[in-house]
Amino acid sequence: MDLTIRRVGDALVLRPELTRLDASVALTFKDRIGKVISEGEKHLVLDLARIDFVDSSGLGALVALLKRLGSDGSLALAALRPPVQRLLALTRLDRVFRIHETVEGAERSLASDRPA
Amino acid sequence: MSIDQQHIGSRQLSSRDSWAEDDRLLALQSLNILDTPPEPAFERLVAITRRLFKVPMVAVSLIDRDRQWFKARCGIDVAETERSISFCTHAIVSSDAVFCVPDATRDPLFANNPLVAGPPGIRFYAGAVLRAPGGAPVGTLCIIDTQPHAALNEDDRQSLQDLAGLASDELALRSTARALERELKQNERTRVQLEAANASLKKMNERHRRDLNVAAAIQRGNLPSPTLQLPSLRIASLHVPSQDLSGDMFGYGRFDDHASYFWMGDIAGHGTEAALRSVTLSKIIANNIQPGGGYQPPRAPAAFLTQINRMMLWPEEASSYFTLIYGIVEDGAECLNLSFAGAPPLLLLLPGEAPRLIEGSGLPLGLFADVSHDEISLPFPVGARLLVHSDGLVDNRDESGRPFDDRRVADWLTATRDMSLARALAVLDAALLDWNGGRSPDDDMAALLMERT
Repeated sequence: MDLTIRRVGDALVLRPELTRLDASVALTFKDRIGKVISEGEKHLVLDLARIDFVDSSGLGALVALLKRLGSDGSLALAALRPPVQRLLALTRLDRVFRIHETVEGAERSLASDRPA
Repeated sequence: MSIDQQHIGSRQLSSRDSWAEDDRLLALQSLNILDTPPEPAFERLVAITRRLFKVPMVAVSLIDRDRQWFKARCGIDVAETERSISFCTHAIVSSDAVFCVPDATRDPLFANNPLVAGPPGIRFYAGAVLRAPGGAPVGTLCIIDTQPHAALNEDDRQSLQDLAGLASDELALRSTARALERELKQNERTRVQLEAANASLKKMNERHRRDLNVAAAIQRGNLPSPTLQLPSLRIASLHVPSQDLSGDMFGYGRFDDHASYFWMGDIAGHGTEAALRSVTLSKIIANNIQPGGGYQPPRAPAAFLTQINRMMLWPEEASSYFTLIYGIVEDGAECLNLSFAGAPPLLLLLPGEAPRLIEGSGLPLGLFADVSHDEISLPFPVGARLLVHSDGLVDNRDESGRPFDDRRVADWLTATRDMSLARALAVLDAALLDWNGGRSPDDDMAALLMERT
């Protein structure tokens, strides 16, 4: 799984180069981003622009990462495609994650959360 | 000046060979020939050489660090001699192709040599160099007599050189053959190791298969009995695990003397972990609903979900969670109550109407300690049908990646509305199998089809 990583202030914007986040990659995805968290990163933005399908394993991986970051970290999801948006609404997890329509929006929000 | 002296004068002795001794010894060792038993090729070679030159002694001599060792010899009693008294050790450093001593008693280099002064009393010696494949001088083919000879003429020199060339070729062939043999042995060892690894993998695989079969049987054992009869409700089910073990589970039965319950759960992920958790879920739900057990579980589906969630909270690091749809049907009532916990939409087919997709949102269970869920009440008159299913059913993909989706499920529900529940599900099963081209599905699939009677 390829992961494009970009630093914005004290946050990392991560874009998994995947079209499906399902059982076949969920564990790799979780481990890969878990490694970033182990390296001390606290604030992550996941750019999901390319992902048009998430299954229960994929959602499980997202929730596990959120739980791992805990209350002093944050995991924002950006640029969700409609099927992913629908799944998050159905599971009400759209209230658990910070959701941004665009990656730029997520970055602006990061900047206003923590002014330089 | 005698002829012999003249000849000694013309002999070219080089004080050091262009081959460093260490490299020469390494080349000799890599031939793996020292102290090996006699071999026909070398035996024949010394026999031919002896007949050709009519001398009593011939040897294929190899010069080791401190000795010369004879790979083949005739007329010589010993297998090796000290290098310091060896003629051949001079031959291999000579720049002459053939090193020749016509009369050793007249040669200052050899006159006092114990092999000359004592037995066997060497007078004549001629040796042609043997070379290892890289060119290192490793020994000689030598002819020896107890009588002095005239210096070898050009033809004889050439013959001795050619015979030595044959011996060198044999050394090279032998070394190639040995290398091949070693490689074959190594291959054989590798093959044996691979076979052992394969056998052990196969054994492990068989054990896993047995374990999986047992686990699948336990899981199936937790599904409701197909013969279970409920008042005012008929139910049929479909359960297609993706890889023997499924994270999908469902159940139904009597809630108490006045109502029946049903549920469909989907543990995130597949395989052993999901299956084990699905059995746990099944047990916890069944244990919470024990008609006449003295304990009264919450009657409202939303409150029931809250209770199940508390009992199924998994450790922080777990990425697993489960979706659940749970409902209650009061005997004789024309409606049913249910709650969604992250579960996919269900389909309601009322008599004389088109199917309706019923969506309910709610957090999945097992993730967060405090959750609350909405409750939905649906009309459920006699003849109405309800389909609850896991997400694997509508995400079942065909070859080009198109999902089987809600619309196709709705069409099936309409087309089979006059069939028995079991027959209708058999049609759905066939359609799903046909859709994914007969492959084992990527995700578990489960469905409960209910009808109000």
